[in-house]
Amino acid sequence: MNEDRFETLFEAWSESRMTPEEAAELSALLRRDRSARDKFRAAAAFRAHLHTAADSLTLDAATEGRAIAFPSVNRPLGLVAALLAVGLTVSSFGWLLAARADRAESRPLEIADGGFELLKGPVPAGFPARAFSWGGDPSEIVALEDRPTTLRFLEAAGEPNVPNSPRQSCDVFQIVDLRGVRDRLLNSEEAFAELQVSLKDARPAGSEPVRFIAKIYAFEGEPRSIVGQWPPSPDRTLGSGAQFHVSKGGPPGAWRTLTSRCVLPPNAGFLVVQIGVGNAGEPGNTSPGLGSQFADDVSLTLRTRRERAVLASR
Amino acid sequence: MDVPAPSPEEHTLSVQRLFVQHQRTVLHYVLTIEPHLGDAQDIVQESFLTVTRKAATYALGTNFPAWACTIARYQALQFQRARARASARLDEDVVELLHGEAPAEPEDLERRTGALKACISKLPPKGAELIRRRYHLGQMPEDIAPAVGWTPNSVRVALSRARQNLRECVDRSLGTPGIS
Repeated sequence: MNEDRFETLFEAWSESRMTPEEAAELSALLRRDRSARDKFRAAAAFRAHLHTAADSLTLDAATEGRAIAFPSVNRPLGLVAALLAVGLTVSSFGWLLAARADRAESRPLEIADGGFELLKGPVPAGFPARAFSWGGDPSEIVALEDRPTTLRFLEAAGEPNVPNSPRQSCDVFQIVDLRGVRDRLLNSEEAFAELQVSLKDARPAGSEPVRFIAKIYAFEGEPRSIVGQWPPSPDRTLGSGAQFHVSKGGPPGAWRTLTSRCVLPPNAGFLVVQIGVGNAGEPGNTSPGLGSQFADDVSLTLRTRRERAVLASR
Repeated sequence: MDVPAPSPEEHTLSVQRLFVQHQRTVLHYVLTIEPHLGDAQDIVQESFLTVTRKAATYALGTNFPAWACTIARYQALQFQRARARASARLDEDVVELLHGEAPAEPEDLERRTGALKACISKLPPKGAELIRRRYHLGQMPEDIAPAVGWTPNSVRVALSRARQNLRECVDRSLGTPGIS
């Protein structure tokens, strides 16, 4: 491959505008040609140095009291918020990031025991009776491979409060109180919660399909209002977002991340996070046997953007 | 007398402090996998959360940048899978081939960044503006073009020249034949 073609492909990569054909061509080249890999590494590292140096120069200008001739960047930078939240001394680089977080922001939303380190043995049965605790269908905390604690889905169950409902899925839930971020929601032009969870189907490839789900529901009011009322009537829900993955088992060690988002209206009072696995066929069918499906690393992120009026006045 | 082992909370705080200390190294490493600045910053955020969650598995005194960058690499792959941008991406086995090695040493990073800052300061004002727009603000040539009154292709050509000048300047400054 000639130099010009490599440059063209590299530029497309560096500007995140590769076509599928270009991606396949560059992947094939890098796979077979060690010198192309060396060249790619060097060029990518140089671009990364440029980002670091340009950031650092702007920080120098800011800390010397000089005007920065460029508009601040519009990026979510919840890391800074997270660091501040844990009371860390903010480094100069962190200061720079904070200075840029003037329009949009992302920050971790509290979720209790997202890594399942605190629960031992069986997960409490039934929908949680209070915020920030797990509860749900038959499931347990176990070690799996190199992970000391994961959630294992054991058995599908019917809907609570719905007699004779089919055993379609095994779900665990957590209520997340939004009181701590209410001001942020009220002052945001837009806000959404993002749920991430790692999932694994440890059955051999080709097994009967099961469907994983990661879902967020947003509700108005206080968390206690949902206790004993699950599943909710559709008109109670302010919003919801879900992502699914149908699995027929897979190679050993394979984990998959599901990410789902839910828009949060300013009046959102709490969330319900649902993680589950079950029937992948027609609605109403019972789930295949479970026990080899796992979840880990559940996290929630709040992403907000400030009001247009505030931005316009800047 | 034995020094008491830190509590889990103290250990986590120490790991978080290490992340703050090395976040520039992590961001640099992530940018070599995910070139979009904003996405790379998101990945660093997610990596911080994962590092916090997995703090108990890190042994203080061992190579923190290598550990954090390994987490960041998996985070970047997850990110690219889950939030694939409109454009296509490199195959994952190729990313592993490219980035499976240890990240740059922090001292080396600081040295090169220092040299590059000095070189950017020597660029003509227009070149410096393009570099800062592209690499500080993360703007693409299509975004820069209307701001400077050029076409996107002219911006690309000018950026390419500026980068070439910077490469040569850094090589002279560090006495190295190329930047890696």
